[in-house]
Amino acid sequence: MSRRALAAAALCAGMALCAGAGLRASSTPRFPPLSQLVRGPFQAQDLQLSAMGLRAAAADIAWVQLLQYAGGEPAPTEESGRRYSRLKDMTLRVVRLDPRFQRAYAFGAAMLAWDPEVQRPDEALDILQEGIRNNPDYGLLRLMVAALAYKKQGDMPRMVGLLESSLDDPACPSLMKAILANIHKERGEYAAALAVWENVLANGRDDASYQERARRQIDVIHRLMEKGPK
Amino acid sequence: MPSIAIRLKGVAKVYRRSHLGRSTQTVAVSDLDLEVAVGEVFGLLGLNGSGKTTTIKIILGLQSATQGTVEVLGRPMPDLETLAKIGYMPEAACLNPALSGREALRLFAALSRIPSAQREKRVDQMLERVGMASGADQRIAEYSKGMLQRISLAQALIHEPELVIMDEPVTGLDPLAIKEVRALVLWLKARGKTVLFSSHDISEVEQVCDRIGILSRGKLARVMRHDEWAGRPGGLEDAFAGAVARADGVGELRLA
Amino acid sequence: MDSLKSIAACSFKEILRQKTYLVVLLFGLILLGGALIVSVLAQQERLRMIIDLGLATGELIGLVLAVFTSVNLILRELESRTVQLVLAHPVPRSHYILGRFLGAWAAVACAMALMAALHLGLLALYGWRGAGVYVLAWLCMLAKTAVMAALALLLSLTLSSPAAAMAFTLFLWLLGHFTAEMQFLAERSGSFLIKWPLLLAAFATPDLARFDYRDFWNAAPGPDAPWFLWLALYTAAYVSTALALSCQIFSQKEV
Repeated sequence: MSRRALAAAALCAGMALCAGAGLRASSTPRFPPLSQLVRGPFQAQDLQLSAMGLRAAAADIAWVQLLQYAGGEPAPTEESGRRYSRLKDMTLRVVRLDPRFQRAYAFGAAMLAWDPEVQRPDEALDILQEGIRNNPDYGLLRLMVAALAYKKQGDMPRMVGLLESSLDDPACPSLMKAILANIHKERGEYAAALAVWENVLANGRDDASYQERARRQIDVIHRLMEKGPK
Repeated sequence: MPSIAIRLKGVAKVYRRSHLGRSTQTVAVSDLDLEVAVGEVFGLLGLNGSGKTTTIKIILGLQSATQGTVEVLGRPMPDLETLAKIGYMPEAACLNPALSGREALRLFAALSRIPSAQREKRVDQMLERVGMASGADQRIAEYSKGMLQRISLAQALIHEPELVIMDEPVTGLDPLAIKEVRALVLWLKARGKTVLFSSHDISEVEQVCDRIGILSRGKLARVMRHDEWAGRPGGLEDAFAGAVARADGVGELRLA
Repeated sequence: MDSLKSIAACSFKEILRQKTYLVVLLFGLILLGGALIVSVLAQQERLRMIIDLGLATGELIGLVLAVFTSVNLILRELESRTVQLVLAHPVPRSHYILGRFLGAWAAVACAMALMAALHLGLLALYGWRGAGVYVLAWLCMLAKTAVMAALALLLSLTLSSPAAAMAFTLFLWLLGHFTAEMQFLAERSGSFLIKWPLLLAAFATPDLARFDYRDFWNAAPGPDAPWFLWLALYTAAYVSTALALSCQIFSQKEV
């Protein structure tokens, strides 16, 4: 028995090594190494979940923490004096855990680039570039880079036009739609703003806070439209 | 067909344990020569710790002998073909408590190589025979000692073995159950089966055995034939007392 | 083969009837329900969160069941001496080990199948239709639990202590997610004393990150059919190695 069992073990171990080599030869998408995980207050949590092989779940939890941070009222002003100073890091935290978390790139970049209280387009660009590297098939990020370029040039109509074209992308975050609707509203384009908020209402059923906001804004815009154009 | 069912020659079993650089040795059985003839009922008598269970385990191949040779039904042990002809009833029932009696018996019927077409019928017959037909579907965890003994017996006999080995079959049984075990041994003998059983109950051994072997501190101190104790009340008891030495560290009881 | 099938069937029944099994399974189902509630916080990514947390729950519960049942699979039988009666029959010891393992793993697979069915039902309510990749993800998780169960069995026979075996198995499970990092460190290391033990550990430890298909099923390009075949072969070979070594150790054990 012993020689047969040992021989069988040796043969199977050899097969396992060959199969392991075969797996390494065919590409397995690997996540960024642990050294690239963002350091910060949630480091231990991310490390523990990654060590257990639960990167996607860790990214989801990080996403919820990002939403809570971004949705904080009033906007957190940290010691640096900047609003949402950790927004880039918290976005990177999510996408370093799961580089395929497409909505996180779009959300973080949209808020960094277009939120009136943030306005840090360079940080938004960093996130978008990392997103494009990890998701070459995801067109929305390239579109946002182009829109950012128009914003820097001051070409608002082209920027708005590009952002409008992203509305039907399922991964387009409600945040970005809200920003676009507010841009239309500030420019007096009430009909366009209304259309965007109605889009949020129709497509963001899981997003209770934005659903509520969409209803309020639709009322506001209707009243503005009744008052007459700017 | 061999005439000797069990043959042990120069068998020894030494347990070696090492812990933190220290090693200890316990001699469970030493220099054991034993032969049991086919069709014989052989009793292995001895005190606790004398090596009875170790001897049985070596015969069954559950443990290997440190020295010596073991042959059962003409083949050296361990041997799977020979095990198919042996029925073993351990001292404690050793049954899986999560299974029902019927499920356990089905398992042992399969392990005993009873063809699947005959298995269910044999299981039902065996359950009837040992009086467990009504309790067969209860979990073994809920069985009384007597019920456990019955199922243990059923699994030992379901495949109609040539050699039946029982380790202390009457320990902890009530007088009625003891009587039933005695009747069973004689029934097996009448059918030409070889029976080896261990016990420290002299009264049981002397009633059913053709020969007995007295084990003391791992050695076979004495072998006696039935005519050496038959007709002499207390004869076997005196022989036993004279042959054994306590190995459990307990001294003599002084009454004066 | 009859003996192997019968032992597997009895092991399966035995484990299904254990209270710990039912409690852990119930806990898993509660966690699945908890995922529904927690996922509300993810807003537009609610469905993603339900999927990820549900799959994570399935894997963790499967792992706990696999390790707990495997560690006690043979040791408990040795302690209670139930194994004596089985081995007093014409059963090769290898059949005993394989039968016990297969029965135990089948019980774990049933628990995971139940959780998968419930989870898929929940996802269907949310209009999710991703059955193909979903089934593949669960199969990969099942393969992972098979590897861990085989390792747990081997360690239990080697160490003869359920607690130590559980601790080492969990350690190997964590280490198994860092094999790429271990290889990286080994390649960078100049010291012979660090490089070769690390390389040995990297190759001997199961590469568990490969089984996390649920984490990269939406990668582009995703794994192709040959990749899955390699993974199946890797699983079979690794499990077989552990079981062969277990048979070897058990063949020397006195019962």
